[in-house]
Amino acid sequence: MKEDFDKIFKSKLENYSSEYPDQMWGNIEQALHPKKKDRFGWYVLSISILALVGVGAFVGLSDSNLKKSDSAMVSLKDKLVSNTAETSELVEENIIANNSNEAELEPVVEALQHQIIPFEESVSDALEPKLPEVKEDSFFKNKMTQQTSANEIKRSALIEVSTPDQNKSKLKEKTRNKRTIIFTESILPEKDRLDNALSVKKSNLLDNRLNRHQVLNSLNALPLGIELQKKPELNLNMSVAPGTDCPSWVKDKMGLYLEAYYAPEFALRSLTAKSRDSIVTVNQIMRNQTESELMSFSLGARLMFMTPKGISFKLGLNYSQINERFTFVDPESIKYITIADVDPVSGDTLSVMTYTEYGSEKEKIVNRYRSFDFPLLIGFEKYRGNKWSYSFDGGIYLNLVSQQRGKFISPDGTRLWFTSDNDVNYKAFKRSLGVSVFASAGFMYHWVEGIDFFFRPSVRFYTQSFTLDNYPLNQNYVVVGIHTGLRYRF
Amino acid sequence: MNEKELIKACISGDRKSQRDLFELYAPKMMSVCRRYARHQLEAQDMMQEGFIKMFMNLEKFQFEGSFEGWVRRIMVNTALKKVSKKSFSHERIGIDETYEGKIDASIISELNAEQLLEMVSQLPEGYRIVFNMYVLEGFSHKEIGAKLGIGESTSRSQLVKARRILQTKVLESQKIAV
Repeated sequence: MKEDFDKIFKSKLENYSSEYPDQMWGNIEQALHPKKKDRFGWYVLSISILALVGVGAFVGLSDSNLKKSDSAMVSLKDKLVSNTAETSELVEENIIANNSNEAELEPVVEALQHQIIPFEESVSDALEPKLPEVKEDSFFKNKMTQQTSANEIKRSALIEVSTPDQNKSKLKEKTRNKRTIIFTESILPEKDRLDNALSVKKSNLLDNRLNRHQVLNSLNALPLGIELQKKPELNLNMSVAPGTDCPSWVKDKMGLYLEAYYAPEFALRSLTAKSRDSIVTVNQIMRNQTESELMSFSLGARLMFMTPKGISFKLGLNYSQINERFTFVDPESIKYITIADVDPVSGDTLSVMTYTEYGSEKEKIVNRYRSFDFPLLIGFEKYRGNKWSYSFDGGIYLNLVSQQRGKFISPDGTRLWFTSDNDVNYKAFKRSLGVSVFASAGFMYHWVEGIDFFFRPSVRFYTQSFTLDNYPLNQNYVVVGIHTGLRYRF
Repeated sequence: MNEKELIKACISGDRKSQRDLFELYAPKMMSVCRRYARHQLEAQDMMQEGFIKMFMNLEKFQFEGSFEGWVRRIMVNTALKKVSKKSFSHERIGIDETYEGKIDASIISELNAEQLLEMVSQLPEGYRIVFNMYVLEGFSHKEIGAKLGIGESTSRSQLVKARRILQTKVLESQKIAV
């Protein structure tokens, strides 16, 4: 009878076919022909960030203002030379503006006149054939025309000549209504002297000591015979490096600092199989399905020494915690329930019954990967104005100790604790994570005297897998975050 | 393309051939996995893992004996890896008594394969594994004991209990039918 029972089950079930999900082949194919993780991309990103730090330091060290100053020097010189007339114009305007009546203008006019007359006389004959209308003596004889307003003076760096086509009346009008002062050849040597006086040596520009005083002194050399009342504004269009206009805390930034920070972070995990064994591949799939990222963080303190050029050297202590959530659902879990019937009087157990209950079990745990590290960093900082500086940091973190707590799907498919401080648990992770590469770039704000606030987006690349060599999966991380904190200067 | 050529094409990495081979044996292997698994989801995981393992080790097949039998053994071994030893501890099935009498084989014959499969998959894990291995795979109690790490007597008692539960379920299905 038993045999018949067994035979019927065997005959009906042995070759029975069941349906399966359509996507099953896709999962199998993915396991057989896995796509290569773009590890190369992470390497490129890390190297790019480190290169950025290096370039930033190089830019700060090399004085790019040198190049600017070269062209600025040339343009400055040209401008000063070409603007001599303009500056004199400004000077004269100022002079005229400061003089309210014609009587006071007389000494000015007379001083200028001494410059103009000798040339005028020598030129007049040469100009005459070209200027029929100026043959009239009126133009050259009258050294100055009368003017209606003391504030209207027209100057020109060139000799004002009229062409044959020029309207005679127009010329007359010009000369009638305005006082014309002509800078003649007699003043040209002064221009050369001005050129020399105003020529700025390259070394001066490098030292960034160019200022208005040099220009004004040279302008005073102009043969005006009058002390300048107002100083002309010269738009040299040059950047002013730390010098006379920088705050003292920027000029004197060399020293010892203490930084304290907190960094909210996000850890990007890469889980890769070390072999093509199917069990390993399935374990990789199951772990990726049951574990997900949560917000992570770092906090710590660093001692920093900064040089006058803005280069800093940092070392300190860092605590990092990577958080992940482990979620597992067992839709048909078995629970054994034992019910004992106990006599309330005697306390004797009258009967025992055990029930088997089927139900859905959901397990949720936060897995934590903790590490203490020793950061060794090099940085660069540059002041940008209005209490803001930008800064770059790069270097390594030496791991001192690491610790893990949590649960995962083990390679044999069971849920196991991997907490590191318990010898009974599954041993999957290392106690030391070696070296990780770190880079950050961001801003500093000078809050109050001796205290700065900083905000630096960062990236950290762990060079080693978190798992032991005998564990079948590699577990690597790249952590991105934002370091925020305060810096105190001793 | 015959089966041998198909297998060789799979070994060489031809993806279309691999898919064809999978679709050829997937329906039967799904039934195998459903008999061993606690539920549908677990059966799918078992089958997926089993086929991955099969393709990874395909070059080891010597073309001796039935290829289907070779694949079936891989599936069974994959299923057995998930079995916990505690499944074979003494299980009490509540207050319901199991039927210990004999039932007519014709009653069982009236039931279709899907109904029988459902009954088997509802067995407690230990009974289910032993029943499948003994009745459907043809292992002896000694072999079952060696594979599962249990004693021969445990294997026998588990089988007896499995039959009783199945008989009860068959009778219950008849009552419902009536």
